[in-house]
Amino acid sequence: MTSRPWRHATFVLGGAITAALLATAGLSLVYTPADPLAMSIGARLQGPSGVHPFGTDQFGRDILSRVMTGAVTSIAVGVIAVGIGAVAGVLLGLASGWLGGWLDEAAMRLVDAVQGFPAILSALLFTAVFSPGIVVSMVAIGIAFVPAFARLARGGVLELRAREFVVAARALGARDRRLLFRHVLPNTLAPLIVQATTSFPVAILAEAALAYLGLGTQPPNPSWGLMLREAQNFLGMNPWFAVFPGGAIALTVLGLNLLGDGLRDLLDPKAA
Amino acid sequence: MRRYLARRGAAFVVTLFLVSVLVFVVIRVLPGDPALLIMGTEGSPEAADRLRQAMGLDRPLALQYGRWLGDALRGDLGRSIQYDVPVAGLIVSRLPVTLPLTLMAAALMVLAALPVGLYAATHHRRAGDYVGMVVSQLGVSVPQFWSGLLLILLFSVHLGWVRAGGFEGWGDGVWPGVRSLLLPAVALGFFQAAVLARATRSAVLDVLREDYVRTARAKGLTGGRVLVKHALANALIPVVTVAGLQLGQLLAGSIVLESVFALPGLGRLALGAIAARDLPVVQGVTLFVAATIVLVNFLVDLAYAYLDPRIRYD
Amino acid sequence: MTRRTVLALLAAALVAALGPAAAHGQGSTLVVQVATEPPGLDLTASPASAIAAVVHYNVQECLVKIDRHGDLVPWLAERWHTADNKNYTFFLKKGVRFHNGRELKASDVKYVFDRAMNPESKHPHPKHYASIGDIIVKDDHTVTFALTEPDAAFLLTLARQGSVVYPREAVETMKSEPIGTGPFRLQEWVRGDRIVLVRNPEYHVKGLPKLDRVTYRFIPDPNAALAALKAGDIDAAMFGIGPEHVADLQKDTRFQVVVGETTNDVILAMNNSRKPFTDVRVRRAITHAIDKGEVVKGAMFGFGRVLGSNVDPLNPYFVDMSRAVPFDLAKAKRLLADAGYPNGFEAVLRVAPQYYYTVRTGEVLVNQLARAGIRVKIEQIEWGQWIARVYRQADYDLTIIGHAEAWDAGNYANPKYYFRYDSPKFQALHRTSEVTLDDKARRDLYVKMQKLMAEDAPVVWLYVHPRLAVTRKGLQGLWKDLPTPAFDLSEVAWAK
Repeated sequence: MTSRPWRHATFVLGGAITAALLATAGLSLVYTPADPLAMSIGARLQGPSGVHPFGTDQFGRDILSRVMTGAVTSIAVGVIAVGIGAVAGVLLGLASGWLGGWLDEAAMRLVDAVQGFPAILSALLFTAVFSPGIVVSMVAIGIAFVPAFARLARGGVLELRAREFVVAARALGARDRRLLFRHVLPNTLAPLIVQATTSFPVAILAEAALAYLGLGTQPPNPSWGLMLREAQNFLGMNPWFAVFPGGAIALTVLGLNLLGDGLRDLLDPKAA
Repeated sequence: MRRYLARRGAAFVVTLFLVSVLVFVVIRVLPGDPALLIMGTEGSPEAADRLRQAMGLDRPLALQYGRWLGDALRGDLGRSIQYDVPVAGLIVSRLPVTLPLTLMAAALMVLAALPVGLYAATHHRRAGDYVGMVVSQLGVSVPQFWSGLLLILLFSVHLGWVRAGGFEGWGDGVWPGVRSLLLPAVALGFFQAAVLARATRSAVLDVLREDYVRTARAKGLTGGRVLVKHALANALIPVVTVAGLQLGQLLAGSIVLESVFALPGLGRLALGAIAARDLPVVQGVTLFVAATIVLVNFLVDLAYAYLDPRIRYD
Repeated sequence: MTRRTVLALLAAALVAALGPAAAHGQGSTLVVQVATEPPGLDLTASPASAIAAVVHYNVQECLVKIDRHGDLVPWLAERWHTADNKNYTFFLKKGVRFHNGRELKASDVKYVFDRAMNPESKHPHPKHYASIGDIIVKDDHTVTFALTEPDAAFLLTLARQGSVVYPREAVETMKSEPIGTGPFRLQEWVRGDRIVLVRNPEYHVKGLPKLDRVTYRFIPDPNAALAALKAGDIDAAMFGIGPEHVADLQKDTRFQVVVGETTNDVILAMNNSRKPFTDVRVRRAITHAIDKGEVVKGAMFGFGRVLGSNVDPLNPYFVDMSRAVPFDLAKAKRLLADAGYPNGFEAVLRVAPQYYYTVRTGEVLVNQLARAGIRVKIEQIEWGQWIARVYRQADYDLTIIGHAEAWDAGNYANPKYYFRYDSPKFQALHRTSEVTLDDKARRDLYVKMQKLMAEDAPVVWLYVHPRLAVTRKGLQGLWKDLPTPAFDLSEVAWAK
């Protein structure tokens, strides 16, 4: 964060945790210790043991295997939600900053308005008219990211529009679109990447919360938030059921946060 | 200053207007025919017609919107389909849960974040700083609803000190109500505190580097007085900004924690309305919460202008 | 005040506040938890069982009543008489007053049933009253129903929740303020929180009700309900405690657990008009592939009775068919191969998470059917969508739901019903049973119907959803079984 060795340590630690997450998700596609869907009613709600290192759920399914497969859901939601927010936000911000005038003003008010809808709220709104599911959560979370990306992109445009090479290129008759995507965007890239990295854990937290509320991923698809929703019914019988999926979320988010901090220092020295 | 206020005020009104447009578009325009959505195919075509008429869905969209907005401005958010009572009344009846929960969480957040941030800043690059920052880094990583579950696990299932949820109401005095909101407020507030603690730390660090603080120190003022009189006062601007923006997050977070602790607040109202296809209620609650968040953001803007003498009012 | 006393006081306050709330005086009040808030309180506008749980029997009553043993007994009508099984004359009990003080008259009865039959009134089940030709008021306390043909289910229909008697002047406000003749009056309904009923001092049955006040608290979350019960905030949880908590509560000396039967048959419905479920071999194969005992263990923690046909154990004509098509994986595979699916097939199971047991049961079934090679995908849809798509349009392969009504074999005789089960043989049997009034002959028909159903396997009857109620010790007079989805509190009282 401040001193160099500290920054280095957080970045490496964050990178390691993130790499482990990706490896786990990848591994779960080809191997899990047990079939994450196979039930064994007789062995339900057991605590950690040699056979089931994370214990079993209410149907006797192996929690470790389910936590592993849940990583895929989390990563998918994170990537797509951030993608939606980044693409929509950047386009809006670029257009707004470049065109200026009342269009800019209107776009920024729209961004202010969207900021009134955190991911949970926009998910509530959307699930009222569409059936709840993973797609609705991705879109709802993505929309909540639009303001941050739009502001960054617009800021970048405003800053660069005044810079000489852009003024020169314009004078030479370069087309707007070409200028925006060849010159302006690449120059705004660093803060956008940092924003994407810091948005990623927020998306994972939001997906977990939505699945927990029953508005996100639906069973039997594995999702950490959904597992916690189920675990709450059995807190008195197998507390470990609630511990491991939540721990997986916390660890993942921690790793991504550390990575984001490190990346910010690397890419954006001004913000340090 | 007056011109600045007028400009910000106008922008605020436009933003609120756009919030209402967004809610209206999602609820009334995207589904195609909200009447069919509400009734399923359970109702006969005539019943659907009646509902359309009652909700004014047979008029042009712009007219529907104008009427809805006009009513909303007068405090009329329509009638709940499920309960057949005014939506505004339902929202008001849930505020005694959601508002105190949000405010208690905000208070806990500030109480936890300011000391940690200040301590970390004054012990810059020493053990205390690192410990504080590690803890806050962990804090931002823990999902609030999971920390809620863990608190239930510890205090209710394991120790048996408090109950695992439910709301006792304000009817028997303040304490039973506060008691029911305490654990959720802790889950909500302490973990949001991490963000504020980090903001406080960096704001205070920035101020401590300023010349006038160095001067004050050089003049022999003791550390404590410098901290309170100069550093904290000047660091307040960014801290207030962050805290204000977090208030919106807390309000949204309370929706989730109401479910963990089974509290009858706005979030439960909205979730119940979704299950019952009670669109007017969903519309009313989302409009109310989004408008509140936009209002808080606006107030943060004003506070910013008020606290920072350097801001330019053009 | 010294610092130490302040601290001591604070500590005392903390202990008092955090400790379990003191059990409140029993008096003659009862606070019960229900999971689902009624969607309005008008029994003649919606078939929701959440309304019946509050209003039926307690606030509004019928001419006849199904009692706790499942027997049909006289109620607002103190007796009736029929000579030809077509003209029924009812003699109303005298001196019965509605909660608004007015006496119940025969003209009210006529008004109520004329309205139920009128399609304009949007009664949920106008078909129940299809056999009624005319209703003639003889005098203030005598009314005759003239049927167009004999109807074996007629008296039963008069006991159903949609047949409650209310004063005509209160018809407009029934959604929020139902008025009836019941042992309790509605006092207030705080939306989203509670409904309060108070004793009707002029109740027409002497000595009842025993409670002065009943509060229904809506607590949808089973954990919160359990917590409220343990904290003493509620005296009883009627339907809201999950089966996973029962074993624990049975050990707790503060509580009594009532485990009983209901008429709620949980089934795996198959769309008989859609391939491959058109083939009886496939339907039987699916039945053979399901280990119902494990389903009850897995989804209901062992509570609930395994079923073999649509007729539930509370029905007087019940025959245990649960072993007619037993769990036999090898046989299931053989039947599938015979039907041309040696490698199984794929299907979608649509369930509505509104009812937790449908999803849980579905998860277990998916796992079991996979062993026979049938690959099932669960699709959760909202309750409204379920009604619209599965129930109304039969747009589904498989679904799971509980059928709560008693005497509902007629659903299988209706080829348009969402099972799309079309057996002329069954329809003929059922038609005969409807107009057969002799008990023994009717029983024979019901036995034949149950055998035919088990053979044809139009759906898989899984288990009877158990009645699981938990109350504090000392509450007496609760119904053990629920032969009808009502919740009679008139005889409930605290032990002295």
